[in-house]
Amino acid sequence: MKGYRVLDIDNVARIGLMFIDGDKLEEVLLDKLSTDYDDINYHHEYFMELKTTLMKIEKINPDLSLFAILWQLRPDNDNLSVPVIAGGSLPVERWFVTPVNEEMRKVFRTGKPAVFHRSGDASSYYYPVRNSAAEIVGVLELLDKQGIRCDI
Amino acid sequence: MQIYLLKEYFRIDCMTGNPIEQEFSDDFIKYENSMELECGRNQYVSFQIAFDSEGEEITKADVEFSDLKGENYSICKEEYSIYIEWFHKMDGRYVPDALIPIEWNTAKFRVPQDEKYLKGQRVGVLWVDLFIPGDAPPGEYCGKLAVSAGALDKRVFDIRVKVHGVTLEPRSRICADLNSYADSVSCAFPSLRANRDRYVDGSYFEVEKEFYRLAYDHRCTWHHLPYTHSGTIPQSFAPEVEGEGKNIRVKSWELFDRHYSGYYDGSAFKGSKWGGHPVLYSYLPFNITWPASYEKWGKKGYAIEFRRILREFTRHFEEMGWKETYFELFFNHKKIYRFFPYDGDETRFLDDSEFMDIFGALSKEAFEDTDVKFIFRTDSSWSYGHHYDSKYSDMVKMWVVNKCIFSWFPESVPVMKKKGNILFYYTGLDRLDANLMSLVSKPLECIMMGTDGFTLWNVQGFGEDYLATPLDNGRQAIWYPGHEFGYDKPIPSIRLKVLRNCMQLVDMIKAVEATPLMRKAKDIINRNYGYDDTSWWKEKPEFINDPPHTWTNAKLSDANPSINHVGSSLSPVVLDKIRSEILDVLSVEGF
Repeated sequence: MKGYRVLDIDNVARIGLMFIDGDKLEEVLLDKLSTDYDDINYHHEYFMELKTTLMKIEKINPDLSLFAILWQLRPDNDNLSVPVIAGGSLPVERWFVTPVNEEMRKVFRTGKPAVFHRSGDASSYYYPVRNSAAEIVGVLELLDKQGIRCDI
Repeated sequence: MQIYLLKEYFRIDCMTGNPIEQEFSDDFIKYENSMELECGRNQYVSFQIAFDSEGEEITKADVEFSDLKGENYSICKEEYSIYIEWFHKMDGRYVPDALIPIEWNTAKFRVPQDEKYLKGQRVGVLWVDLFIPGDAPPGEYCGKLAVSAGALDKRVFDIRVKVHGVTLEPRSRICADLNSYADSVSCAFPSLRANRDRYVDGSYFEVEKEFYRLAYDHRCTWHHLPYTHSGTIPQSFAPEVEGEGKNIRVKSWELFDRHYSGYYDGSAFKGSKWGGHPVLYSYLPFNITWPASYEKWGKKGYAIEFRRILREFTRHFEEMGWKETYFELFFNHKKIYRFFPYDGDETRFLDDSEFMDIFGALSKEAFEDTDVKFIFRTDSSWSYGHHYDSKYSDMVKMWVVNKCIFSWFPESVPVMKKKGNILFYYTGLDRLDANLMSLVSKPLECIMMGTDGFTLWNVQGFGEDYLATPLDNGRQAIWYPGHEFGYDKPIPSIRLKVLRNCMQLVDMIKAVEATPLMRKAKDIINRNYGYDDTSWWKEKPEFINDPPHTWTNAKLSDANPSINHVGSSLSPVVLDKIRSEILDVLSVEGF
């Protein structure tokens, strides 16, 4: 059992992705076109399942101190990304709808993982989340070496 | 050079000497010989001393008070306290707000007060508080104020105080709730920010206590939410727990007790003019993911963990005898911050109300089984019209309601009262340069609208350089960090002082709530505002019957554009008139 702690970030993601239900991620945000600050609404059950999965992913290798976040693209503008569910920390981009960075765009387009090295030691590891039809419906971010939890 | 006195409610632009409340300049008076004040007993009264240097530098000023002599009693000169007014730049004007306690001796009064921030300052102002002891017999008190500065000969002013035969009770009956979010203290004080051990070595507690005390000394209650939107709790804001499921327990209360016991037993407030009473209200650290982890949401383990630790809280608080404070179970989480799927705060989508069912059920038994005042609180806006007369107002016993939306529902007040619920409205501070009548209207509105208090949603937003201009033009700060002046304490503001002075009045009014005097007091307020009882409320908008999630913030803003600025069109002298008339009424009746 001691060996479980040596899993690297890719292996943490590999295990985590097995438990993230892409169909539920597709449906968790009930109004994907909302723009009003107070207009956001979730499918409670799907959110709970996805969020608790993120919390477990963060604990697969406690030594890594990863934070897990799920992202989607805005259906009306695929240049914009939405941090749909945060695990223990917000992403560096906080809670805002934000322009898609190149690395995340690459994941949505190619289905291959990518890494965004941020200033300092922090890096965002991006992995595609697929639904049961094998479509990419979101991105799992594992935020590494963020240090301080991004919170509000 | 000129030296003159000012009432508490007119402020001076330090560069021009003009009143900040320009639109009421007809009522602006420079008192050049004497100052007349009115108040009850066991309370403060305030005025200001202005030094117009007319371009001459002032490097030193002397202010000397005499005792105030009455027929058979003297109010000691030691009851005076003085503060230097600091001026903040706003839209080309310099507005005073931060008050530097002069007894600190770290900032000497001078004009200009500061070469960097206040170059070209022409007028320097001192704020004066005078406390009237509770045993001072009613009557006229007279004393002298001698002032000198620069080359000017000593000026002597007469100070006359009419003390009415009405005594302010030590504890507030209306809650002026100053809200903030932990840890908003450490980030404002570099010495704390740099100290990783601040939550255990006592340094944080020392500074935090000064915030609680400053609020208490100004008849306010400081609320400091002990968790973030992710549910993270800073060390010492909750007891450390260990184990999980059936084995979860509080590992130690030691640090939590060291942090909070002074507030809950009142010892932190000893030495205050109003004695050492426990804080009126306080948030609990319970949230969606503490003590039960959200990982267990919906499972029996979640309920077990939540209930077990809540039981430990009720038992511990009983043992500690903390029975005067309302301890609030409150869920501040908002969906927009992506951590949880409910808007616990300002529930908009009606299906989110489910969180109240869940936590109402989890807390009911423990709350009913103790004489400690645990209470389920919600902050309500969009859904208030749906909730105030529903099962939710039976399980949630404290409602802090958006002022705009609350103003559409006067009929909700008797319903809430009948259910025994505590009712606040919430609003925000105005810009620094706003007419102070808008601020003093907030406690008066509690009297006129029947609430138990009001919440200023954030009072700890200072910004990068508050000495220049506070964050959001002062809409988020009612006091300031004192470290700029060499002390790890907060310093008060003019707005806090003016709010206190009005709180003293409304607390005296509230004390006669069950008597015909309440009606008389309301009539005085109405007459001075040009209102009747209905004017405090607003017409329901056309969209009121649409589901709240279809409303927009723009619609709400359009519906009641001025509701958060009641009183702003009134001359500040109205405060004096209301106070004088109400003190007359109350003192005749001998309260």
